[in-house]
Amino acid sequence: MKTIKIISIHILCWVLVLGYFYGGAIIEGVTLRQSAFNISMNFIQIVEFYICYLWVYPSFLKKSKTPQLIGGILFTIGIFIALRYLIEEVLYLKWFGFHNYADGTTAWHYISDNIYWSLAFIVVPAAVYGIEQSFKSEQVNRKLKEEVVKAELSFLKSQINPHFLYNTLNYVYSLAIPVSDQLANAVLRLSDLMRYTLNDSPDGKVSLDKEVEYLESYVALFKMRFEPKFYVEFTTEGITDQKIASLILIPFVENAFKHGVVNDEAQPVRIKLKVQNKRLSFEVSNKISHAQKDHSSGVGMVNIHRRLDLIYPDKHELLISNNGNTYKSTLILNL
Amino acid sequence: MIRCLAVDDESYASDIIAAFINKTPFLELLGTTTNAFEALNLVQEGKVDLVFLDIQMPELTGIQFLKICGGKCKVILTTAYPEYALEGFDLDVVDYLLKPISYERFYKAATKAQQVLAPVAPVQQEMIVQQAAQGERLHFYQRRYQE
Repeated sequence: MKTIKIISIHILCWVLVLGYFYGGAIIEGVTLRQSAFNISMNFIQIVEFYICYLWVYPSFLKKSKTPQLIGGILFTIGIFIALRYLIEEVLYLKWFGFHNYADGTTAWHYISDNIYWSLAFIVVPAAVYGIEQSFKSEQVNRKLKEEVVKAELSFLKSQINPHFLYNTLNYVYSLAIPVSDQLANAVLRLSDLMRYTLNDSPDGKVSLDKEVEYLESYVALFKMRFEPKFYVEFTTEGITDQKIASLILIPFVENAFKHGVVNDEAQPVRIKLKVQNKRLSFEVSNKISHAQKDHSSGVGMVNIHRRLDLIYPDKHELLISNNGNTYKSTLILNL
Repeated sequence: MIRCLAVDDESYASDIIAAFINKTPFLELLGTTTNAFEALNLVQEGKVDLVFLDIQMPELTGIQFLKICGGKCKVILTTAYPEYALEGFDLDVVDYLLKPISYERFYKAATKAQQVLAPVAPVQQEMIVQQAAQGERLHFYQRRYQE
């Protein structure tokens, strides 16, 4: 929601709340002295509300942050008491010549009385914040479910009968073997690629070395097409038994081949995959091409961002650097 | 020498296996057939050590074949689509090959069969591994790209 809209809603709510409190006063009419203390109280309550709503609850209303939460609330109460004292006992006295509490009031009495008054608008922002959060998470859940349905549909649409597909590929393979090794190899690579993309696993994650094999098949097919002027360096480090969301690395390689220069021996496409302590870094850098052979819609990157947000929320980092000559994308994932 | 049979209802598929068998020094090709019953007869007569068998066949499925010939020979299953992976291993299959099959992958399965049919002492094993490594290297380079 736009900021202006949010601010307007907040203003409206306060007008309604205060209107309710002041309704009677407006109808009957009051003296300055009576309304002065209502105004100061409401002002401080609004301040208190926003301290809690904008800072205390968003920062500390989470698991394992209870001590900070209590600290935040006590801080808010402190601000309430200090502000009330400042306005009602000091400033009002200075400006209007009157103040609120009777002269003999002890500090203890003042503090304990105001702790009581402060509680209302500490509880209210908690309720407002809580309700907003539950609406948000409901929205996120609904979006996730929508994405799942969409993905299922597109998967079903694209599904070719695998028996038919692989048997036919096998037939082509049988025709290719006596003709040319290269041809037979290309058919094998293609089958590997198809087997990979058409296989679903329930949680969408595959073992990292299988994903790397897929990338290698992809690169190998390109190499076969553009040989011998095809220069790619692919290095991996630290792969053991990690799992990764399937097909999340390929768009970066695709982009490098689409928009990059692959036939410059001095500046090959560099693909570096490194895993250390559950932290994966995948770096693809290429020389930028000034002609574009493959005009596609650029949906790939938008899609990647969405998938990363859905599957690795807050657990990923995507850095792009472009200095006019070299394009480098670095993906960091906490597996 | 391991006596082999290649069985598949699509003959070009068993032709590929036959070519691979001929390429492999420790495998001897007895023949190919699209008829599962013919294969069964040969197995029952004790003439076959290893059968490369397709699962999806009209008269007799690979699984049924396995159950009938049980024990008289070793089997390597081939299939386009791995729906029956677990069931195959329940019945003690040597290996499982997904079509189309690279020679590399075929060789791996053949050496597995060799181990199962004639387990060897460690010294001899190393010789076999070296032989295999030599054979594989040719095909391994096909997978590498410019470095």
